[in-house]
Amino acid sequence: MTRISGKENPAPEKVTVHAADGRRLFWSGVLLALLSFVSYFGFTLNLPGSAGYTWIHERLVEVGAVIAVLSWWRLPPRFSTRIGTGMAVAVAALLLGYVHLYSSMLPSTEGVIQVGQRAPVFSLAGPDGESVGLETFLGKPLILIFYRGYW
Amino acid sequence: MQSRFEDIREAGAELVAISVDTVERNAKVGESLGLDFPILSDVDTAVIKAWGVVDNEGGIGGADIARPATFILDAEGVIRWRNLTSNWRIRSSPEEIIEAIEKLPVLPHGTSDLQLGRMHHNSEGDS
Repeated sequence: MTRISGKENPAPEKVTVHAADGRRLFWSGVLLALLSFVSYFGFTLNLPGSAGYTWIHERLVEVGAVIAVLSWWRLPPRFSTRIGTGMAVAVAALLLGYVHLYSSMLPSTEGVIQVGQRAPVFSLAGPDGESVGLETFLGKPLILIFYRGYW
Repeated sequence: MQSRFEDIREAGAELVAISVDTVERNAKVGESLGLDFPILSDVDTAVIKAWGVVDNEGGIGGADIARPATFILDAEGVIRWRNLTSNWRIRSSPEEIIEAIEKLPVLPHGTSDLQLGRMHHNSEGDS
């Protein structure tokens, strides 16, 4: 804290003027980033076709992080939580990276058979080795589950 | 899913799973988990490709596997509901599937072709 050079804080007196603003802005940024992160995993991922909404959360985390980073420079230099808040910014960046990485691994919903379309027929071998076709199961509603496999 | 299998049957629906594993492996999995529904083998990934549910190189050793997905087809084979969860930890819950089945238009015996035609009017276009 005491070793912060003048170069990094060219106008400390100006910073103190906006101290309250900076703090409020900073924490709202952190909060926004955290909320959009938590709601992504807690809510959006449960939605059908959730991959389509990932970008909203990514942008929100980014906006929150940008607000936090920008307002960080306006925090009073002796603000006791400055180191802590610096860490919070780092955490926000990590969260963003994680959401981005996680979502980039998701397969796109493009090209997936849609509601209203007729099911493409298939004929596949069941556990007994016998081939069964889709038509075998029709006549009543059918729940078709695709598993990743490689149990 | 197995735990709610009876409820699904009671709701009048059939349950089938598909994975890219071999018949032997699927048989073993079905047996060890005590599944009453079949897991079909799409070893050459033709079906998951036709359905568009391929997770390219998502498997061990970069193999193409199915992404977790659940579809509900009506008695005519038209997709009525789908869940393409992006998180394999959170699959569609049996509860939401059963709810979706119960919302399906009921096809009583003796439903006329006219009614069926109307019901599937929208679907004919894009398939």
